[in-house]
Amino acid sequence: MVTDSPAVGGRATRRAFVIRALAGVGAALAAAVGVPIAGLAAAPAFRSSLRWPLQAGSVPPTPRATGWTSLGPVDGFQVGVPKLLPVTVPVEVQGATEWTPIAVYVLRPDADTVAILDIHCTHMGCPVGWSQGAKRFLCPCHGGAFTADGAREAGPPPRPMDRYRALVANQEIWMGPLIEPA
Amino acid sequence: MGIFDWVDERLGVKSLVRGFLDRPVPANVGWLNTLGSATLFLLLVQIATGISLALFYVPAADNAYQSVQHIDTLAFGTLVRGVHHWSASALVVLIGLHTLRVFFHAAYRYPRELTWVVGALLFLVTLGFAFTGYLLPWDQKAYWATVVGTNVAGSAPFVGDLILNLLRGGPAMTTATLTRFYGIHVWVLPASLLLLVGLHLFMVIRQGIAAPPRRNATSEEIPGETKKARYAREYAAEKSAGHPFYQSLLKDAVVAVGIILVVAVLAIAVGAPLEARADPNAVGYVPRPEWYFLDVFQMLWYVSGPAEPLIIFLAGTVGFLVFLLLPLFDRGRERHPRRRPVATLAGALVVVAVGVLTYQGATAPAPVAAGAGLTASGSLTASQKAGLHVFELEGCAACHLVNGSGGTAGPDLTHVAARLGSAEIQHQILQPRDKMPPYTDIAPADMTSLLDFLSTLK
Repeated sequence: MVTDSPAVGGRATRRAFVIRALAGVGAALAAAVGVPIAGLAAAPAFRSSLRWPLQAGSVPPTPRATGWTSLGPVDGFQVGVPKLLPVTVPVEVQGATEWTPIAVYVLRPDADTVAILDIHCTHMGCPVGWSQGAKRFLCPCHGGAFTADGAREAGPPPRPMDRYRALVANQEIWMGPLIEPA
Repeated sequence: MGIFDWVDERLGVKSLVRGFLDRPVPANVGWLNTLGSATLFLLLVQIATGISLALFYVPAADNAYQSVQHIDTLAFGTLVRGVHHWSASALVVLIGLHTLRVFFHAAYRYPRELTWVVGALLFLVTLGFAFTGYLLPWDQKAYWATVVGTNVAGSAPFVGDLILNLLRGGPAMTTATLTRFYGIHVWVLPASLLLLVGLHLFMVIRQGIAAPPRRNATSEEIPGETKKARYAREYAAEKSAGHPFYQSLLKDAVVAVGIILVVAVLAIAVGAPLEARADPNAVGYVPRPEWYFLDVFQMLWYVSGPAEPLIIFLAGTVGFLVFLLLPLFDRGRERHPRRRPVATLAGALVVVAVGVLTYQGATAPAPVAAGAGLTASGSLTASQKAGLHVFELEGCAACHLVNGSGGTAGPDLTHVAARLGSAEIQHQILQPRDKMPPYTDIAPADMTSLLDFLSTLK
């Protein structure tokens, strides 16, 4: 009887070869199926403009709006008092445009300037509140504090509050896209 | 001929089952050894309840919350969701205890190193389940804890952006994030779980349950005997003095019944919490994670400055690598906790640190919204009352505790006047050290009343 044991010279080499070939075919099949699967799953990472910084900061969770949105007449905003404003903006999510409610702080440091701040703390993204008494933005999570114009003042936030593009046209304030933190 | 005999005649499984149930396990294998099977039991409960919930849940931001509310209106809906919720917590507790048991018994020593490595990966998978699972109801807690959680992961050096985009499905938290978390929670992690649990159990059954450590060696060392031979000889002796496996299963069953009772009572009595629907614009909401991530959330208080992301990342990855590869570092012979004091002490320190951070995170008073009122104790003079008003107006309570209400970013001021004189307090308000912003815009009269008020806090 012919045995198929590794001890039998020629047959052993043949056996080892077949097993290795099977492993090779298996690995090729796995790669052929695995690369597109993993690639599709990782698609969001390819699409965005990725940086490779030594110290990445927080990323505002706000949906990224496209185009410009009117926030209403500039007279509706008091100089020196940030106003929390809910606004609905067009956002592209998974191939569809959705009107999404977000909220921003609108500032008029003086009669001629307008700034629009994102409400999320630049530490870990908690929603910062405006304290009219302290004239500061205070974060409820880890004690971050920002000045009335969004500059970093105290606590763990690594950078000033994030901003949106802003302009005044025909006495109306317009909000543009979020300025991505560097 | 019974149905079992009929099947056995064709498949010959009777001897397999008998061999499994009757195989000897070492003496002293007792109640502590039920933790692993209890973990497995809870994993099965999670799979079963999870499948049931998946039949109703809608993984899109528009409908997720309503679909969860809808589940609660169905027959057994609150029960199944409650069991899934509480079992998740119980699972984190039990996999932790099981890991501690294996650690303090040094049961990962030769030949069980790989069983530990696979178990460490299972620990990671379990935390992954916990992290992805509680976003799914899309309520306030879910939404904001995920904002913070993904930002913590996203602040890792070099790969932070990549991780954040992979987790959120883009830079922002949108319905794409929810769909991804759902996909990871019900497909990616369960597939990994089944593979790893299969491997883990294969190893446990193949190698047998490790004998609990003895303080003194059970046998004399035979000169020239290899590690392998000595282990085989001692393990055979332990087994011959032991009992059949089915007797251990009885303990496992008792524990499983106890756990399901506790979980069911919690599910019925407390239910699964559901906060208000996620509102990305909820200024004033104070994000807090589930209890098992409170330690990380609390750690963010202690590490700050430009090196914060690096420290969190290093603590996380180095910590996990040490945990994963522990059997490769710790290769001594002694297994009894008292015979390896360094390892035992290090393990105890980790337990205490996690416990303290979790406790601090859980008991931290929610910061008072800026300007919120303090209840004044005792009678105040007019000036002190005015000072209290300044204290409220300036938002001091956002960072400072007074009589148990307020924030914890800064020092507790309940007894500040006992520590500092008025001049020192004033100096601290005008020229504070790092964390506090300088309050130079307080009018002199207001400052006088404020100091008057603060001097009552003794």
